[in-house]
Amino acid sequence: MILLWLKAFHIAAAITWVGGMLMLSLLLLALRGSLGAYLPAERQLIAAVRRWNHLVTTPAMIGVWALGIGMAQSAGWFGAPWLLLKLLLVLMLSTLHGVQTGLLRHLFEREPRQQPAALRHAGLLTIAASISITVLAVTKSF
Amino acid sequence: MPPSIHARTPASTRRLQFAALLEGSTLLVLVGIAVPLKYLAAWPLAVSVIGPIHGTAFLLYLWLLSAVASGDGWQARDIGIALLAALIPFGAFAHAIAMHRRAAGRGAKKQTAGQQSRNHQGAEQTTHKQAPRE
Repeated sequence: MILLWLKAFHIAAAITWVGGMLMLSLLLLALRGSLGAYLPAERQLIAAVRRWNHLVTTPAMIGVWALGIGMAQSAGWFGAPWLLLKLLLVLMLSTLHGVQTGLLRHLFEREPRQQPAALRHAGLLTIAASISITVLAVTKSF
Repeated sequence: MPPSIHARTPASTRRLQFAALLEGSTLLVLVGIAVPLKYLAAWPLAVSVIGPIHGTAFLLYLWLLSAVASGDGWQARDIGIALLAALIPFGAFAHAIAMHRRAAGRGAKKQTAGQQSRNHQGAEQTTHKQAPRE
């Protein structure tokens, strides 16, 4: 029974986290071209997304980690190859979110700057990783 | 009075230092206490409690490292050292101390630059004040 509760909150936290990451990806993509000073509306948007990231997306990500680890522990999944692969994908998504968060802080506190080229595909990467994680978690095929 | 090192260190770096200490402490407890208890005393409960806590602390450290490195424009070499430090017992403590010293060094540099700037301004004001007399 406890496993079902953990699973329910884990999925809810994951949806919130991925939603926040997609919003971050879209904002960073939209700000990519502008290298001059930001307009007041752009600054307001950066501040709002930063606040959302701080109050909702990041706590959701921590919730995903804690609930996921708790779930794997209580179900005895540690050591299964599918879980190892899923953990690697979560590690990759967490690092991507960290890079996006740091860049957003830089854009808010300092000035516009050239973004890493790989971040252009952050949205696509987030969706691909989410689909892979879902397939691995549902099928548990190996 | 100059501000303390704590006040001069950015909040994001302070959080990373805290995460490094947390990750290092949980790794030490896991490797030094929980694992020997599991294999020498046949008591696996400690590993099953500390293991997930260390896993979460490691993820938190990795996330904060990527956020600080991306925001402050760290060099690839510094990121590599920080990652390596997380994998070695006591490595995270050494890295937290190194970050603290780096922040203290930056603060001292800023303070010296500020002092020089104030001295320069003072000298300019003295020159301006003396100018009419000449």
